[in-house]
Amino acid sequence: MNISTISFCISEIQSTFKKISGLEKQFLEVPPPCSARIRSEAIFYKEKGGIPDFPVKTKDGRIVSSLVISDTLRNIPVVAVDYVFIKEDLLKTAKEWLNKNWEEIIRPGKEE
Amino acid sequence: MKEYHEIRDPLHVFIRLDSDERKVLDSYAFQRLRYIHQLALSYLIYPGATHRRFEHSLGVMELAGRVFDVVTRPDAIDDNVKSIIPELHNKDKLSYWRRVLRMAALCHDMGHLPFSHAAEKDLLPDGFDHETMTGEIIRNHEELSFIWQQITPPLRCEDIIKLAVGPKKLKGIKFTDWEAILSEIIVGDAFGVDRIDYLLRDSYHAGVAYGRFDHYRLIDTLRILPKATSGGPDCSGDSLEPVLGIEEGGLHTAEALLLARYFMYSQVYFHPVRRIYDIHLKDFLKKWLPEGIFPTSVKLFLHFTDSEVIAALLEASRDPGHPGHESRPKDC
Repeated sequence: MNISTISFCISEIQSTFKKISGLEKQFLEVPPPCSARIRSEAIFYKEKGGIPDFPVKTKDGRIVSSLVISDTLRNIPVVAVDYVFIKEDLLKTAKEWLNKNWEEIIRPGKEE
Repeated sequence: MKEYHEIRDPLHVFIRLDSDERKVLDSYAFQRLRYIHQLALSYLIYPGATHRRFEHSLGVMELAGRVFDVVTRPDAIDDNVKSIIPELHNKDKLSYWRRVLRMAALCHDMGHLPFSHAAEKDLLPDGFDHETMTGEIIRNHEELSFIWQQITPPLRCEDIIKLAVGPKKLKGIKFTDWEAILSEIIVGDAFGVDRIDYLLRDSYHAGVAYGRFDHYRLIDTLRILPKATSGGPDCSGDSLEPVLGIEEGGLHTAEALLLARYFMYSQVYFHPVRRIYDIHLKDFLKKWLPEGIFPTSVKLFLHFTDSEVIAALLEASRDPGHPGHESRPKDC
């Protein structure tokens, strides 16, 4: 799991929880102070396919892979975003949960 | 009547189009793009980002033409691909496909919903997305069908759809090598002119510098080359499948493009407040739209733009009986 960003933002979103990933599932375990009115939505995005590989014609006429010839391209991070939006009332609880579970959340998962 | 027309553009200075392209520009389906924000509600965070799909589509057409002219220039064609792309040796075919490419670039975003990507996934029936709708409009909109037919020689709408949508989205449809390269010019992951234009344009209008790179140099060094893989230091002869690549002199600007993409996604496209607006917008649309989704019949679909949605939002805010009306909840 590649978590690049975890943000808790103030929002008033009328929707039920969406079970999108393990992170969301963990968050559900936080006892909400106002479960009847809880409002949250999570957005998780990880770029598919990574950095594109394309052919490069070198000055001596060879054709090589861009990922072979360019250190920069090999090291461009994959775009990955994880947000959990939570109602303002629940921000304190969410922060407490985040502090408690931080180590677990950022622990790298097995590569798929 | 003038045969060629020019439109001023902040990025490309002049965008030139012929009279047939002008007819598409004047069509209802294309004019609708004047009322669809390129970056949805991002203008509430970046006030300058009020640009629309209309000018982006013109920019994509302009760049597609430039790339085509570079990669088909006789001295720029690699010996390895000369023999496997017969279209490169036939002037009439080149001329036909250049027209198709520019038309496809012009039309590639016609199927966008109001507010572009903001609510696309949940507001179309299963199996539909904006690319599907683009294909439907190019194929079935009467005004456009008439334009394709009256061009000499007539343009096959299926050719336009292939290039506008690309093989990734048109699963099950066979693409020749040539068609695959042309669609890559528009929608390719690495050097698609759709991406080149939106990074530059979004960066310009949002007022952030992250999206800038030397696209002049990049385009000048683009070439059709045999595919190489990252399996070894010299992959000559890996595959004869021709794809879009570059000469070594353009490598740094290609790196700049891909870095720009990373920065723009991280800083602008996935801005957390913009994502919150998307969620609110989607909630409203689900309540407001008949059966909670957009229609997929071309005629009805084209009636919806950002303007109708903004008017409905305003109406809902004033009318407690409106399905999208919602008073601010009290504290629990």
